[in-house]
Amino acid sequence: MACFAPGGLGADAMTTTWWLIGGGALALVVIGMFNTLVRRRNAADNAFAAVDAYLTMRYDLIPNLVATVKAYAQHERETLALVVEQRQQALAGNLDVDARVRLDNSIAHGVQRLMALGEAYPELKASHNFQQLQRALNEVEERISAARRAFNACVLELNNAVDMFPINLVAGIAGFKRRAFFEAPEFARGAVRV
Amino acid sequence: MSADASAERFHAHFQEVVRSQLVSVNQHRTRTMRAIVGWWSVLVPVLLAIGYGLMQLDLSGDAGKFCFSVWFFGLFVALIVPWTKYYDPFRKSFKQQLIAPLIRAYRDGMTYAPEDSVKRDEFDDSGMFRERSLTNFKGEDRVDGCIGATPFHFSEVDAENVTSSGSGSNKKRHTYPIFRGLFYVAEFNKDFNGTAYVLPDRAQRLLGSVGQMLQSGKSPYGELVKLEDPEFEREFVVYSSGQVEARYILSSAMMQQLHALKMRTKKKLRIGFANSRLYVAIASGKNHFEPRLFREIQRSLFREYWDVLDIFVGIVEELNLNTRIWTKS
Repeated sequence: MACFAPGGLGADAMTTTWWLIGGGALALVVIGMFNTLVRRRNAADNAFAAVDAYLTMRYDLIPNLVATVKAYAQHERETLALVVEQRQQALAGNLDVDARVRLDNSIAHGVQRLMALGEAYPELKASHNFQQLQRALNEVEERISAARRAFNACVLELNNAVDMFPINLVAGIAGFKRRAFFEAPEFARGAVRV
Repeated sequence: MSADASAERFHAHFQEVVRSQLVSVNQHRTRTMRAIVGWWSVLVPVLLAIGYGLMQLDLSGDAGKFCFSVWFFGLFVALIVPWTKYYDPFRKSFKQQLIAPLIRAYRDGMTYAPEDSVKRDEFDDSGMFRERSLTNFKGEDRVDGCIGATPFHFSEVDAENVTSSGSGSNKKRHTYPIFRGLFYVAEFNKDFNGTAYVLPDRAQRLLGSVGQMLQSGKSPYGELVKLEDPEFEREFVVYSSGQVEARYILSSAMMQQLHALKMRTKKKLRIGFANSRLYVAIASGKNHFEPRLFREIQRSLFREYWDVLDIFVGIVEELNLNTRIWTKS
């Protein structure tokens, strides 16, 4: 037969060829898995950046909100000062992820309390500026919520890859780790459904 | 409007306006039907006899082709002319006398234009049907209204893609339906950039997780968005220009409301969000707001059209489009 003819491949050479083909295929599979993990990690990073962008939009609204509330509700100095201080801490940007999440939840709570002051101060509620801020904040909060949901979807994909066999083997070697989901803060649960 | 309130309103309108006209409308329908069938019963046998005669003459070549072409044209004219002459006036008067008041009675301020439709550009700009390019577009029965701060309109639409292949005498025309049904447009209550499309989920339903993998491939509607609501995901597949934007538009409540709309209509639904508008396409497979010719016109026909209004006008309330707590006022 042609392959055993003089000049054709011997049994050893055939075995080597098969090893090379097998090794090459395995390398391609490993590269594919590694790239999948990188893609999912980047998607999660990108989604986190989107959350960050909308959180910055929330911070940008706080000075206006504080100025508006201060004009009508001077007795609420403590709440106002706390929100301003927390905003400054968040903008300083030297916190780890967990501390940042806690701080953002606290800011969200503070902002919600400021918005609720409209019920106690009718003049504040009637103010055009306050109404505009209320709309802008509603929009930002909904965008933050959407960005968090997008982030959680990316984290789910990444965590599945990190946990599932055989891609978890590549994840373990390359140092990919599970990430934590964003969880809605306690005070935001059961908010108005729109 | 609740289902009970709507049923009550329909009953009141039927008793006050429609009932008294049913006898005269059915008389008009009978006269129209008799006139059309009368003309057909004379013209069609004559033309069939002529056709039989032509076959006996055993014509061949160009003369044969010409004679049969003329005969076919004659048969076509004999069927169409009486129909147009008698049915069209009956149809027009039915729409003016009964459908227009029905729509006005449904809700104050609603208007009806039987010959008008959603505009071709509007349909095209929605980006709801990207599988084929739009070449032929027609529509009728446009309804306009405004509930609170939300203007809306809808109409019947028949959109097609027509292509031709070959040349000369071998030239062939191919017609592919893009959409036939009711197309609805409303102002959406949130400002958004980009697009999101909620389409019927066939692949996942038929093929399960393999179907979902297939959906992840490139789509003309954008990237696949996997949402958290399992009931919603079972019925629909979502594509969007952005993951965050899709979730901003499709809040948890909106997903539940769209699922409820799908369950209520029991029809194949396509929903689009683009140009700060909401688009809904329901392939109903029926010609709505038309009279019957060969069957008696009864209360049930008007109830059927009232149900169509319930679905489309109800979308504004069902999807809370009047909630204006965001920057869009």
